Amino acid sequence: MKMIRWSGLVVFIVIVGLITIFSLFFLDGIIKGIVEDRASLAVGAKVEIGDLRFKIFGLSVDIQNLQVANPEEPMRNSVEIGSLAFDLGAAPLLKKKIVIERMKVLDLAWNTPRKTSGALPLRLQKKLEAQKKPSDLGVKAEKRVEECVLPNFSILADLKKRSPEELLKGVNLRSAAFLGDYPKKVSAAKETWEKRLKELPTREDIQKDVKSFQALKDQRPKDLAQLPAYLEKVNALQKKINDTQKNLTTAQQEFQTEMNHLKTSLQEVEKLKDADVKSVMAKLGVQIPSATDLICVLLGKEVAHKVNWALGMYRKLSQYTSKGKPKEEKENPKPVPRMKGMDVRFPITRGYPDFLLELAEFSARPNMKKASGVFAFEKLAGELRGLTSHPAIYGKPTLFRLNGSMVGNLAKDFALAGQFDHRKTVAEDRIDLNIKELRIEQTGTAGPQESPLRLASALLNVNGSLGVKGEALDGRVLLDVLNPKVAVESSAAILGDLLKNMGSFNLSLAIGGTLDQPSLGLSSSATKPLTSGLENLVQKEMKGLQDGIKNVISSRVDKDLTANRNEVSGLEKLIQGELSSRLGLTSLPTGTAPKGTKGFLPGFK
Amino acid sequence: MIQPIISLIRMMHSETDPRQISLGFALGMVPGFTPLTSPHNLLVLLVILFFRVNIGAAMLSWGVFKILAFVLDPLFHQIGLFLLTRVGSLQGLWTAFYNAPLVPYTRFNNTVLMGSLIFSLLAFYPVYWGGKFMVVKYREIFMERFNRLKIVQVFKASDVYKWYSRYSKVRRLAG
Repeated sequence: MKMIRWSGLVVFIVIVGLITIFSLFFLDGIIKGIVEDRASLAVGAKVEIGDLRFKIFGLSVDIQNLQVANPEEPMRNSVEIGSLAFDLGAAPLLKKKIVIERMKVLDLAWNTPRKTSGALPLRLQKKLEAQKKPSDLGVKAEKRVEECVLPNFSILADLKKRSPEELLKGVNLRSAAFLGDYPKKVSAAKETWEKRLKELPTREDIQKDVKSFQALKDQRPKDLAQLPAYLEKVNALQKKINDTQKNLTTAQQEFQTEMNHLKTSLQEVEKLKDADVKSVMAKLGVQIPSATDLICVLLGKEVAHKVNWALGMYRKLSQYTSKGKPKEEKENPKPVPRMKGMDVRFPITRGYPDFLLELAEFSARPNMKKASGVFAFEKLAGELRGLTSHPAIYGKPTLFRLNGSMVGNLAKDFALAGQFDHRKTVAEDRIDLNIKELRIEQTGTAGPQESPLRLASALLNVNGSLGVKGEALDGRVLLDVLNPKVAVESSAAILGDLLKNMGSFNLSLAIGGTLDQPSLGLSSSATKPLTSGLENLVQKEMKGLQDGIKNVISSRVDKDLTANRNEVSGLEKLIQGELSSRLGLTSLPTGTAPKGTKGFLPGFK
Repeated sequence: MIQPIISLIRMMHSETDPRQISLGFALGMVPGFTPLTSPHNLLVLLVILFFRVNIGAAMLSWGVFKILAFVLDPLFHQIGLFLLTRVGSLQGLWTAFYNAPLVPYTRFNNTVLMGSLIFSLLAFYPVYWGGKFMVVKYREIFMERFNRLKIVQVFKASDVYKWYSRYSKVRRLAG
C-alpha cells in the first residue's frame, strides 16, 4: 500500500495558499476590526478608524481619522486623530512583541462633534460589563466638594409672606414637651419628700426628747454611786437628739440638691427653645450657605470634577503599564471565558517587553476655529517616550510633555508634563499642568440642572501638580482667578450684591487620599470677605423671620415656665420650711451643766 | 461533509486497511479537541492530506471530538494550568519558549490549548488502537447484519445510491 498521497500535498498547499491570500487581502480590515474592538473596550467608548493600511513587507501601519467617542456625550469625540503612522520592529515581532520605534500623531483635536452616535454597540457593552471590576465603577473624590449645592433661596421670599404662627402650626416643640412633663417631676419630688418627712422624727417627737433631756438635766443625782447610770441615760438621750439633728441636716442637704437639679433642668428650657428655632428653620428648608460653599459652587465643583476625570484617566492608563516586578517573578494570570482558557505569562528574560512605544510625537490640528466647549489649540506639540507594558524590563520611566497655546487667545500658554515610573513595585508618577491666562467666557443662562452661580468671565492662571506613590495621592491645583465676573441666576438673586464686585481671588484644591478613595480639600482667599458679607446678608434677610419664630415659641412656653418655677419654689418653701423648723427644735440649751460634772459630761458643755 | 461520511461507510465495508480508518479518526481528534485556529492544526492537516489516512474518518472524528471538547473544556484548562504554572521543572522550558522567536505564536502558554493538546496526544494511541479494534470487530460481527437490514437494502436500491455510485465511478476514473 502506498503511504504517500501526493494529491493531498497539493490540496494542502492550495488550502494554505488560499488562507494566506485571504489574509493578505483582508488583513487591513481584520486588524482594523480587532483594534477598534480592543480600543473600545479599553477606553469604554466607541473607537472608530477611518482607514487602516498595514504594509506587511515594510511592517508599517498607517491609520487615518481615528475617533474616540466621549462616553458621556455620544455625539462628541473625546479625541480625534487625523493621522497616526508607525513602523513595527521586525526582530521583536518574531517573538510576538510589538515595538514601535517612532510614532507620528498628527492633527490631534479634542471634543469634536460626531456625525453618528458614539455609543458602544450592545455586544461591546456586554463585554465591557463583564470585564468591569468593582474598583472600576468610578473614582469619586470627597463628596463635599463634588456635590456642594446652594440652598434654595426662593423659599425665603415665600416664607417671608407667612406669619411665624402659621409656620409653627402643627410643629411639636421640644421645649413645650419638656415643660409639659416637668410638673410630673415636681409632683414626684413632692411625694418622695412628703414620705421622707413622715419617716423623719416629727416635731412632737423632737420636743418630747428635748423636754426629757431638760428634765433629766434638772434631776442630777446627789449620790455619786448613781452618777454613772445617770450619765449613761443623759448620753443616750443626747445621742438620740444629735442623730435626729444629723438626719434632718442630711435630709435638708439632699432636698436642696434635688431642688437645685430641678431648677437647673428648668434652665435647659432656654436651650431647647433655641433648638426649636433651629429645627423649625431647618424644616422650612432655610439653610445658610458658608463662604466655602459659595466658592465651591462657583468654581471648586468644576475643578473637582476635572480632577476626578483626570484621576479616572490616570487609573485607566496605569492599568496598561504593569508595576515593576523582578524578572523571575511571574505575573498572575487573569481568568477568561470558557473554551478560550487563559494566557499564562512567563518572565521576559531578555530582549524587549511585550509592548514598547519608544517615541511618539504629537501635533494638534492646525487652524482650528474657536468653538464653544471645544478644547482647541492654535499650536500644540509634544512627545511621549518609553510607554511600555513592562517598565522594569525597559529600564526607563515613561516621559511625556505637551506645549502649546489655545485658539483665539483662549490661553496664552499651555504646558502638560510628567513621568510614569513603574520600574519598581511601588510606582512613582508625577503630572504637572500649567496654563497661563486661560480666558473664561460663558454666555447664556444656566440649564435647570446647572449651578445658579457661574463664573461668567475671568482670567485664570492654573498651576497643578499630582504625585502618585503606589496608591497614595499627593497633589494640589492652584488657581489665580483674575477679574472675575459672576453670573447669578434668579434663584440665587439674593447673592447678587455680594458677588457683584468680587475682586480677584485664588483657589486651592488639595488632593490627597488614595487612588480608590481620593479626597479633595478646598480653600480660597475669598472665604474671609465672603463670610462677613454672608453674615450681613443673613442678618438682613433671615433675622426677622428667625426672631419672629423665637418670639412665638417664647410666648407659648414662657407661661408654663413661670408656672413650673413657682411650683418648684412652693415645694422648696414647704419642705425646706418644715425641715428647718424641725431642725430648730433639736438645739439643746447650753451652759447649764450639773454641778460637779464640769469637764466630763459632754452634754452639758 | 456527507461525501466523506459515505466514503467512510464504504471504506468500513471495503477491504481498506483498518489502520487507515483508525489513524484518520485519531488524527481528527487533535483539531477536534484543540482550538481550530491553533498553528499545530496546520501540521495535522498536512499529515491527514499527505499520508494515506481516511479523510472521512478524520472529519467525522473532528466533529465528534469538537462536541466532546466543549464538555471537557474545564478539564483541559486545569491540565494546562497545572503544566504551565505548577510543574516547577517545566518552568525553565516554558520561559525559554516564551522568549524564543516564533514559538510564542503557537500559543503554547494558553491553558486550554496546552491542556487539550497534551490530552489529545495522550489519547492518540488509545483512540487509534480502539478505532482499529472497532473497525475489525465491525467487519467481523456487524457488517453482514448491516447489509441485511431492510433499510440498507432499500437505500441501495434507491436512485440516490445508484446516482452516487455512478458519480463515484466517474470520479475514480477521472482521478
